[in-house]
Amino acid sequence: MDESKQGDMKAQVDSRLDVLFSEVQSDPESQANQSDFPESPLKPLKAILLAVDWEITDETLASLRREVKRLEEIYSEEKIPFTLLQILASIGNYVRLNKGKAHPSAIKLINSAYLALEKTVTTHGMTQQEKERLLLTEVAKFKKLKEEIAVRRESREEESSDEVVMPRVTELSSSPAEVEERSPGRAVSQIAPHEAFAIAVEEIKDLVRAEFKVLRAEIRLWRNSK
Amino acid sequence: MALINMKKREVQAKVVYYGPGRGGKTTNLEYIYRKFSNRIKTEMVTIKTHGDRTLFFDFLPLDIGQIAGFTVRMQLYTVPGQVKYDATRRLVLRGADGVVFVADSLAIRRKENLLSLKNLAEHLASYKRSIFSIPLVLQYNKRDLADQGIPLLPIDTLESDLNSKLKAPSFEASALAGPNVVQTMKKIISITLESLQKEFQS
Repeated sequence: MDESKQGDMKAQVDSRLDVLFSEVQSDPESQANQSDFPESPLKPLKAILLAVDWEITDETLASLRREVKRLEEIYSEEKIPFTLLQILASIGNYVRLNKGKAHPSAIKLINSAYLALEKTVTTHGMTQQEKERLLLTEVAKFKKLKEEIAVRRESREEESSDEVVMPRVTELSSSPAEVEERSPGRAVSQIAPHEAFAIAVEEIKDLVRAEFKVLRAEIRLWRNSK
Repeated sequence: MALINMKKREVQAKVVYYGPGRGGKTTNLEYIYRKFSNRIKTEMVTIKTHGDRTLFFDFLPLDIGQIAGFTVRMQLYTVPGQVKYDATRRLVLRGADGVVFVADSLAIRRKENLLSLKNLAEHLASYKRSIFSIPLVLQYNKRDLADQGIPLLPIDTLESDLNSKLKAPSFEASALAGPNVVQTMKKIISITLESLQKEFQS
């Protein structure tokens, strides 16, 4: 093995990677946000959203609700942050009711609405027009999610009358958005034991099917490689 | 196993991001894809399950360009971290040339890290590979959460739990914010290609 040749190749790889993935180009927006953030009243909200991102628990979602409420009071006179907070409150409520069965895009939209809120609150020199544009984007995403939830609910209702009922996110208006609560008896934590058992059995069946599918694929690959 | 086409002078290698569920494997790839989207000309493929979790894998092909007269292509994969998808994890690990183990720094995830590393060693062994010889980089993710008052495992604990015998290069990182995500990737690509070169020339 030629040591110098190997060292030369390593140097070439490292140099190529440095060129390809140099991080010199900084992101001015994120830099602005970082420098502004320490004094921001949004800091506790960000901490809660990070916690929600890795684990959805009743405790984190209750903290989210409390923190959004606190911020709504702070920004009650500023329409754009206030509306973004309403969106956060609505989706937070929806996730709280549905937990693991919530629409996959719900958490994404929480993060996206928060980023828009952070931008509007912490970016100096942002024009009203830019802020409105951000808000409109988030409202459009919110409406799209609402439609998707409605479609999902309909298809579930068609599939089985035993399925968990999806809550409806109400129309976003000038008044605080609210989530229409489904009947308390249908809350995930309060479903009847026999229903919970039936859901668990279905989940186990799906899991076994998925694992077998993968194993079959693996056997096929193994046979092909022979 | 890497594909080396001498006629076309092409090398294609596979790197797998492994680790416990919700540890940040997908976030690593998403950060790279987002950050370098203007330089990465390929698309990231991701298959999510209910609740935004990785169901099968994420896949990010990277064209590294010309190195020593060869066109080098890397394929970055993630595995689903959830315990139940063990067969899928094993399948994705097949033919890996390098592995990044993304450990979760959260104090409550200590056991999950250990189990996942053990699981990695077992799956590699099933392909007759050793965790001690495969190019491996450890990443201690979510270090930024310390600023939010969330209890994290000290780096010494992570090193002693996971890296005391492996002695692999390791990075403290935050896949969400970006610190050391790129360094982790550069390191694994570098040592993987170095290992392939050694293998090829021996």
